[in-house]
Amino acid sequence: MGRDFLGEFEQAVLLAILRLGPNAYGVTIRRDISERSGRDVSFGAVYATLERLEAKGFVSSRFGEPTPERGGKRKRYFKIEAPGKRALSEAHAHRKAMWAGVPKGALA
Amino acid sequence: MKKGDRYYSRPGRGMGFNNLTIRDQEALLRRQFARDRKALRLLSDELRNQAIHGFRIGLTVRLEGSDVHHDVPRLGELILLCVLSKKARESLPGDLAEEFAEIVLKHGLRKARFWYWCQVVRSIGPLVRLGLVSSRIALRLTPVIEFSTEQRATGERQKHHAMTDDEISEAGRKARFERWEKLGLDAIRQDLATGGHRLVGGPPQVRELAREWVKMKEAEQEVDARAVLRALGVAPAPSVEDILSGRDTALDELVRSAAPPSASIPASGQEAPAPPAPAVSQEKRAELVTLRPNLYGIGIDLKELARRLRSWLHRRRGKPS
Repeated sequence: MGRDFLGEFEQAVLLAILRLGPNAYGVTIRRDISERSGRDVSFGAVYATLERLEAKGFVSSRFGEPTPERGGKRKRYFKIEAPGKRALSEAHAHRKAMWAGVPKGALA
Repeated sequence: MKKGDRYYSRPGRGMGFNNLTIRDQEALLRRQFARDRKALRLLSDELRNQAIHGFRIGLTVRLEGSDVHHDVPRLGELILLCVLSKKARESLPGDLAEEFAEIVLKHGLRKARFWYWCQVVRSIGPLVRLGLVSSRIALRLTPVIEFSTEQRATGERQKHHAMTDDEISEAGRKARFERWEKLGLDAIRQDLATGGHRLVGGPPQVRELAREWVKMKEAEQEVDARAVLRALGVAPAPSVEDILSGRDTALDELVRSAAPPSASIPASGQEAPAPPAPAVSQEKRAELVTLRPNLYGIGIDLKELARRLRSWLHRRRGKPS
C-alpha cells in the first residue's frame, strides 16, 4: 500500500466525509466522529488529518460563504476524491482480510 | 409509658390521624412527605427549565445580534494562527467560533471559554506533528505579526484619516516645522548629528524630514547672507565646495557683473562656446581634491597639483601658462 495506507483516524475522517456528503466541513466532521466513536476529538486532530489527506490527493476542499456566527470566517467544505475512495475500499478489504479466519469466540 | 401507646394530637389533622398509633402516624407522614418532595422536585425542575428557556431566549437574541464570536478568546485564536496552514487559518477558527457559540448557548460563557482553550491546547500537538510548523515556525509567525500590525495600522489609519505608516500628514509636517523653528536650526542640526533621538525623535521618516528642513533652512540662510553682502558691496566668501573644486565664485561674480546684460554667461563649470573673457581659465575647473570611498576618504590629483604649481610659478614670473 505504501503511500495509500490509511490510518484508523484517517479512515474515520474519510467515512465521515462520505456520510455527510455536501455538508462536510470541520464542525460536522468532528461531531460525526465524536458521536460515532464516543470520544471527544479535537479540531486540531481533524484538521491535521484533513490537511494530510488533501496533500495526498484523497480529499479536496472549497471555501463557502462567510457567516456572522462564525465571526465572518468562511466554512471549508471537504469532498472525497477518487483516490480517497480507492484507498478507503482498499483499507476496508485489508481489514476484512485481517479479520478473516479469526474464530468468532476468540475475543471472548 | 410506652411510646407506641401514645396518641399524638396534631392541630389541623382530623380525628382519624389523632386516633392512629405513632408508627402509623409516622408512616403516613413519611408518605405525605415523599409526595410533597416529589411535587417540589417537579416544581423545581419546571422552574429550572423555565429559567434555562429564558436564558436561551436571551442568548438567542444575542446570537441574532451576532456578537458572541467577540467573546472568543483572542489569545487562543492567535496561538492557533501560529500553527495553522494558510487555508486552515480561516476555516478552523471559524469552526471553533461556531461551536463556541453553541456551547455558550447550552452551558454559558465560562464553560465555552474553557472548552475553547482546551481545544487550542489539544490542537497544537497534532498540527505541530503534522509538520505544518516544523522548521518554518518563523514564517508561521509572520501572519500573526502581519495580522496584529495590520490591526494596529488600521486603527491608527482610521484615527489619522487614511494615512499610511510611511507618510507624515501635512498637519504633522507643519507642526514639526513650527516646533523645530522654536528650537532653532543649530539645536536640530546638532541633534541630527548625534542620531536625532533627543529633539527630533519619531520614526526614521521624521528624521529624514528634519534633515530636509535643515538643508532648506541652510539654503535660505545662504541666500539671505549673499543678499546682505551684495547690498553692502562685499564679495561673498567662497564656500568649502568651491574651494575644494578650485572654483573661484568671486571671480565668476565679477565676470557676471562686468558682462553686458544681453550676453549670457554660462555658469561656472560649464563649457562656453566662445569665452568672452580670457581671465576665466578652464584649467582651474579640474578637481584637485576628490572624495573617495577608500581607506583615506580623500584623493589628491598629483598631476593637477603639479600643473597648478607650474601655472602659479608662470604667473609669478609674468609669463602666460
